[in-house]
Amino acid sequence: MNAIEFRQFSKRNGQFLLNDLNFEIQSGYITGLIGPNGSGKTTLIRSIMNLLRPDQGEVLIFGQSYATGEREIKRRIGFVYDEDFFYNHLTIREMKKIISSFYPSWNELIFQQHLHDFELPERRKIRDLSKGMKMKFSLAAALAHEPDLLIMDEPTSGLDPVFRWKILAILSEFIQDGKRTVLFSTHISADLERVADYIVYFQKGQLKFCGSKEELLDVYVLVKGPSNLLQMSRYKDKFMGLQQSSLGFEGLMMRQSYDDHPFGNQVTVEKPSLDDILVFTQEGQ
Amino acid sequence: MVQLLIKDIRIQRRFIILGSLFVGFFFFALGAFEGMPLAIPAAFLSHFLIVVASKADEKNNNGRLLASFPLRRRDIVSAKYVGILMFMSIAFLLTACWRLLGGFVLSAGELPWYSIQSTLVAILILIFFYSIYFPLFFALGSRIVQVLDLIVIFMVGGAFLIVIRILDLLNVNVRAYVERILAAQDILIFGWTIGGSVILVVISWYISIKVYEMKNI
Repeated sequence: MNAIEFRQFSKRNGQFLLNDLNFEIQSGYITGLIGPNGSGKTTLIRSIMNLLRPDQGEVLIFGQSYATGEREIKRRIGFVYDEDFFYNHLTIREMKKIISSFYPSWNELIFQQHLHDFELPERRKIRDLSKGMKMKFSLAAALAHEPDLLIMDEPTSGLDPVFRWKILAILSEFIQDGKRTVLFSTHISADLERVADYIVYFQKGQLKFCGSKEELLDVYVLVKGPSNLLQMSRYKDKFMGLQQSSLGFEGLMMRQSYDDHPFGNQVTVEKPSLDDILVFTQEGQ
Repeated sequence: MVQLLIKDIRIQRRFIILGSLFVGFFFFALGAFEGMPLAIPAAFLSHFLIVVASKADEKNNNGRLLASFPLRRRDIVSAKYVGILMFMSIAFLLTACWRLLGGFVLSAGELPWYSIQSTLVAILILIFFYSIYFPLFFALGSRIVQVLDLIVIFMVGGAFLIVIRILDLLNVNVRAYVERILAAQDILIFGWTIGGSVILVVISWYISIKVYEMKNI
């Protein structure tokens, strides 16, 4: 079953265009949304939350359209945004009372447990919290109403490594029952390599890839070798992206291209990381 | 929608207390509105509470927060309109309480006086103002909301002066009409005025819903 489904979805937001998107995000898994700055990650998340109206097409959540079931859909979504959106003059406790009033399924025990784990003082005003603490509060609130879909926009940016690991552990635990889904965007691809099952990769508003993480990592190979080989090679244009130095070259190419035209034993071929794919495919543009 | 109204009271709690103390201090302790209708301080307090509540929702991306909750956008808009009545009721009640308290220490002549007509006129002015304010608020959002009330005041004030000037030129006596409302026992005048205001609010509410439903937040 699909948690999220984009159908012929197009949205222009200023100069930016998401054009004719057709893809699904499967329920029961963690899906990472990656792409460079300005690639459309936040626009996509805002579209999923129905904050942006599509110019064409639609987004279905749990197979339902916002046109007919906005309240029912949003009751099942927990959200964590990358920006501060709380009433800053309120304390955590006061803000919690406001948020909890909108969710019939609010579980105070879960909320208190997360407050305790995250060491958040209930009487502290929101404006006195650091960025990391606001993110922790946001996550505690999003998890407390036991959503079926957790949407997070850059949740780990600006957080210390210890808490980043903690969040990833929480996300892994969250989907354990196989019914819940997580979609989170991030710049830190190491986080995705750790927990994501699926990857949605955007570049300049275009969907570049949507599939399992292994599938994405298997599509490309990272080729390293001496620069002179590259000068002789007639395969230079096969690289998606290429970096050269006096020590040699390093480039990303499709596995299929490499298999068809191997360089021979003078190069080393490695499985790329998500970061490699992001960096090289962006350079190749 | 009830949650939204409770939310407005929660985020406003300190401002309700502050506004009430302000009214008590200036209008009663200092006698700033001595001999004037009670509706005037009540209208000021109402305006203060309604505007602060709407500004608070656009101050810190809070509009995005509300739109992400399990609510339809029309619920968010409707709550703002119901909030006008709610905050007016709170303001008039608090002002009436101050008058009651003032009665223990001040003579009747030093206190603001109460009349149905002046209360009605104050309510109508507020409704007229918010019927223009809220469609602009939902259309423009955080870009301009911090000064929107001033823009609307100047806009409405300017339009009001122009209309009076035109009516003067047409030999229509506006002052007499207003005085007639204030002194009126005439059900027909009340009926027309209240009916007109209700129609204005409904049109404004409808426009606000349409504008906000199309808006990218």
